[in-house]
Amino acid sequence: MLFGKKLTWNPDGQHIYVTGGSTGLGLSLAILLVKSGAHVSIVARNQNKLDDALKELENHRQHPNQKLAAHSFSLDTAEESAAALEAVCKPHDGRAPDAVFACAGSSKPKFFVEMSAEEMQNGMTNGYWVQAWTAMAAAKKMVRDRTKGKIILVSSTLGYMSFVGYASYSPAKHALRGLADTLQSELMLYDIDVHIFFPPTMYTPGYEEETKTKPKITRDIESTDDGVTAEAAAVALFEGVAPRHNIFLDPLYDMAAYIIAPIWKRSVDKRVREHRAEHREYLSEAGFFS
Amino acid sequence: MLFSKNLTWNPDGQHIYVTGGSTGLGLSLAILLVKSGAHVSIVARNQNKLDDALKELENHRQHSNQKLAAHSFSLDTAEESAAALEVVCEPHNGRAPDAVFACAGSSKPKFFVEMSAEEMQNGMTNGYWVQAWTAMAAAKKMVRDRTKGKIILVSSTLGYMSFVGYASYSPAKHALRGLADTLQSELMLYDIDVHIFFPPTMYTPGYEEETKTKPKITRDIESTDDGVTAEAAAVALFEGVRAGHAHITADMITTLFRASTRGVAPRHNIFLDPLYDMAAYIIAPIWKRSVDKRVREHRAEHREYLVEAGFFS
Repeated sequence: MLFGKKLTWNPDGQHIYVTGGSTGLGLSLAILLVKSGAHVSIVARNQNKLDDALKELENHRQHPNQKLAAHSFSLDTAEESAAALEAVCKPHDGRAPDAVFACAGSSKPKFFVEMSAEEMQNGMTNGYWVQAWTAMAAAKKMVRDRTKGKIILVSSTLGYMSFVGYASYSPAKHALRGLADTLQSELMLYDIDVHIFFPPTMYTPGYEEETKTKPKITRDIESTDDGVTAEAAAVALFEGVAPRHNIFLDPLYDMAAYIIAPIWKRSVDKRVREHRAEHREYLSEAGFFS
Repeated sequence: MLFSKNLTWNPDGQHIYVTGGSTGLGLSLAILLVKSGAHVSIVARNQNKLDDALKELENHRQHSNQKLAAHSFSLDTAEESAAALEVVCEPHNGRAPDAVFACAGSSKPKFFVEMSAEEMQNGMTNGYWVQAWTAMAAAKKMVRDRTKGKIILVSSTLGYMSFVGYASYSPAKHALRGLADTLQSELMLYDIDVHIFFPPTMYTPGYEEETKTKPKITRDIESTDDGVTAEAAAVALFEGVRAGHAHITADMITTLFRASTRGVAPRHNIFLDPLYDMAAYIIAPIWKRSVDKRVREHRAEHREYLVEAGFFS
C-alpha cells in the first residue's frame, strides 16, 4: 500500500446505490460500476433524465443478471430519502445496498449580501441535506441488516477552503466533511466504511447551471483552475474508495500547500480589495441601498 | 505581525453585540467588553437569565455613558435574527454595531443511528443557523451603513476534526468554518473583518446540558482533554480578535488542528505554525489510532445496547 496502488474493493455482484445518478459525476460513476459488474440503482428527480441515464447504463451491461434500476425521488428531506432507499432496496429482498454513493447536490454562487434567507437555506439543502439524509437512512438500514457496507459522500475543494461567492455552498460542503469524519469514526461500531470525495470544478450540467449566478470576481479567481470531466472525477473517486494514502507523499503535499496556499490567498485578497469600488456601484444599481 | 502581538483593536466606546450573551462564553466575553469601556448589547432567549446577566454586566461598568442592554429573542430564523439586530441597534440611532460576536449555540451528542431527523436538524439550527442568520443580518446592515465592522463566529475544536457521537454537531461547526472562510474573503469588499473561534470543551451550563445525552464512549474519548473555563476562553477570543487573527484558538490541541487543517486561513506565525503542523502530523494519527481501537472494542457492547433500546425491533 505504501508503494503501489492496490485496489482492494471490487463491486462485481454488489448492489450499489447512486444518488444524483442521472447526470454528471453520479452518472459517470454509475457507468463505471455497471462496467465492473455491479447491480446499480440510481435516484434523481427528473424522470426524463433518469430514463436516458438508464438507457446509457444498459449499454454497459456485463451480465444478464445485473439489476439496473432508476427511480425518481426528491432527497431534500429525511422522509423522502428513506422512501427512496426503500424503493431502491425492494428488488433486492429489501436488503441494504452494499455501498451508497451520495452524488446528489448543486451550487448557486452569489454575493452574500444579495442572498435571500431562502437562498442560504437552499444552499444547505442542496449541498448537505440531500446527502446527509441518504447517509442516515443507509446507515440505519445497514446496521439493522448487519451489512458491512460503504457510505460515500461527495464534498468539493470548497469543503477544504473557500473564497468570495460561496457563502451558501461552502458551509454545506464543509458540513459534509464534519459528518464524514464523525461517521468514519462512529460507523466502525458496525464495520461500515465511510469515504468522502472532494472534486474540483467538474464540467457537468451542474456547472453550467452554476455559471448563471456566479459573480464575475468568483469566475476570475477560478479562471486559473483546471477543472476535470465527470468521467475523470468518477475514475478518481472509484479508485480512491479502495487504497490508502501514501505516508511519504502527504507531508510533501502539506509542505507544498504551506508555500503555495498563502501566495494564492494573497493574490485573491488583492483582487477582492481592488473590486470594492466597482462592487459598490453594482450594489447601488441593484437597489441594495434603496 | 510576525514577531509580536500587535493588539490594535480597542472596543472602548464601540457598540458590540453579543449573542448567547446571558451565559457561558457569551457572558464572560460581554463582561470583558464592558470592562474595556464598550457599549454592550446581549441577546439570548431566557428573560430571567438575561436579567441576571445584565445585573452582572452593570457590576463592571466603567463609564456612566456606557449603554448596556439585554433583549430576549430566538435566533433560529433569518427573520428573528434580523429583528433582534434591529432592536439592538435602536438605542444607537439604528446604526450597525461595530462588532458582532455570535456566541449562541448548543450541542446534543448522541449515536447517529439513534437520532431522529429532527435531532439532526436541530443540530444544524443550534450549531450553525443561530450564528449564520446573525452574520447575514449584520453583514447587510454594516454594508448599508458603511460600517467597517467585525463579525466573529464561534465554532469548536469539532469544527476542525470529529469522532463518534457528534454527527449532529460537527457538521454545523464545520459549516461555520466554511462560512467564515468565505466571508473573510468576501467581506473585504466592504472592509469588514471576519474572525472565527474554535474553543475546546468549555465548562459552562451548555456543557452540563450536553452530558445528558453524551454516549459513554464519547465521554471516555474526551476524558483526556483539558477543558477551559468560559472566562479563559473569552480572554483567548478577545485577544485573538485584538491581534487580528482570522482563526482563533484557546488551547494547544486545537492549535495543532488549526495549523494542520489550515486551508487558506491566514497563518499566525511563520515559524511556529509549521512546527505545530509537524507536531500534529505525528500526534494526530497516534490519537486517531487509539480512538479507532476504542471504538472497535466497543462493538459488541454497543450492539447489546442497541438491542435493549429496541433498535432492532
